[in-house]
Amino acid sequence: MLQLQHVTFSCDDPGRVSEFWAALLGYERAAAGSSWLATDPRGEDVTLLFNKLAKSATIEVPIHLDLNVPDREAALDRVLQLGGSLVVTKSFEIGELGDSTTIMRDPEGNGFCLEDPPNTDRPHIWNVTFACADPRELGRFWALALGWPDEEIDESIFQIFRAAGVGEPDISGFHVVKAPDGTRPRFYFHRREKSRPESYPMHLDFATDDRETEVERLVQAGASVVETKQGTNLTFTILRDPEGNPFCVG
Amino acid sequence: MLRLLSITFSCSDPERLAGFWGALLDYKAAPAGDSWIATDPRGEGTRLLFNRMEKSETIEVPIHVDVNVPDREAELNRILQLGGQFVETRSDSIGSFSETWTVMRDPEGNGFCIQSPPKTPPHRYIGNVTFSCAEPRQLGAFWAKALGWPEEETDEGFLQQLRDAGVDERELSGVYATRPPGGGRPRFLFQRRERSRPASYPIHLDFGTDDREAEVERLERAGASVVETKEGANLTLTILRDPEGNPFCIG
Repeated sequence: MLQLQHVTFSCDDPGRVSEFWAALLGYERAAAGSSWLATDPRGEDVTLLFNKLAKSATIEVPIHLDLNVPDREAALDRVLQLGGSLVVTKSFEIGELGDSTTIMRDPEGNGFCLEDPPNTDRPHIWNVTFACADPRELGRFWALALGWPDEEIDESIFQIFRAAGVGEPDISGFHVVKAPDGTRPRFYFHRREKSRPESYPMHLDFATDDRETEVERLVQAGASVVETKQGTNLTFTILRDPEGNPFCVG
Repeated sequence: MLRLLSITFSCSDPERLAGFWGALLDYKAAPAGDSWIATDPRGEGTRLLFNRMEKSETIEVPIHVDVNVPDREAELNRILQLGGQFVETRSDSIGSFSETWTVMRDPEGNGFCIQSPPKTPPHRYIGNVTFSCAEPRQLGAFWAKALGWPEEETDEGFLQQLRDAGVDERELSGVYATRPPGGGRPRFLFQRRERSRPASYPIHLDFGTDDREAEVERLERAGASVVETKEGANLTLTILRDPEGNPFCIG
């Protein structure tokens, strides 16, 4: 199985971007060569890695982070103070369902979302969100890769959708997979058009006990191997998921 | 200059789709050979043409229409009865600015928006032809030139309000609009949005002009590229692509 090790940002200025994210999430920051790491001192939430690496320009990034915060308005101001910018606050209504999300950008333009569901005690990364063509299929792949259950979405949501006049393809427009023990982040998949950048602004790094067996298993599940890199301390394989998102297994 | 002749839908059932859009906009639908045409009996709105033609699957269509209606909530239910689908009602807000619209799909899955902006006239009409694009200002300027329409000025006070709310300059260049002089309709609206890149567009625009050859040459200089010229029995038309690859026809 894969264990999520870091969410990795390709940056022009890893110091600057890591400072922003560490301050926003209450993480601790440490230099690692030309890279920076930001880790949760409570050991609860996913580590962020900031590499100095080229990234392609994008309109809608293929992978982004959704943050839960205690107070969305306060978090918006905090992001601006830290050097981020506002895109828009979006609200949606489908029948009796409704929600508001504020879309912001970090200092290098990476889009991310803020939500404030009840009982959120501190800012944390809640979702890694994939824009994709087929949320259920891609969700199934990642559930398998992570050894997480592949559960259907609660039927009551679809009843609300149908009652409001929603049909396909929108009914099957999202999917979510989460760890059985409730650890964060969840992986969220929604049907959205996305940029297809040569170099991803963000990707995911995974650890595993037996890289070679794991790579074979993932290829059977629909991933494709880009290359295997031999470092001094670490060998890792770069793969792409069934919709082309690159990820690393070390 | 180009004159917008019709908004053209590629569809599998032209009669069904013409019936839907005709009822939605209070147009009259009539067959024309294998195609259907829906026209505004008031003589104001742009004609819609429905051709039986292949279209590619899309996630976010490159070109869609925004329909202005007197009462969005009431319209939503009427559209469901006509065979449309609901996607979601969306509100966008930045600082104290806010707007609300409802995203729907026609019976063949084409997404469109309905909105009731202030001072909407008491009838239904196509307010915008909206392009999702990478560079709204460049693409918008191309179309303004192609149509001989002026850019719609954005109020500097409004832009400052967005800046004050924390919006970056890059975001401010994410929208452009041009409309016929004298406030005619529809407006062409350009938004920075990711979009599908279908081989066969579900919706495209057809234009008329007084001198096709001179016009094609002028548009090529402005950044369009010619796909092909088709010689029909009654009509010669040239298919072009705009600088972001959206196909359109000039007859």
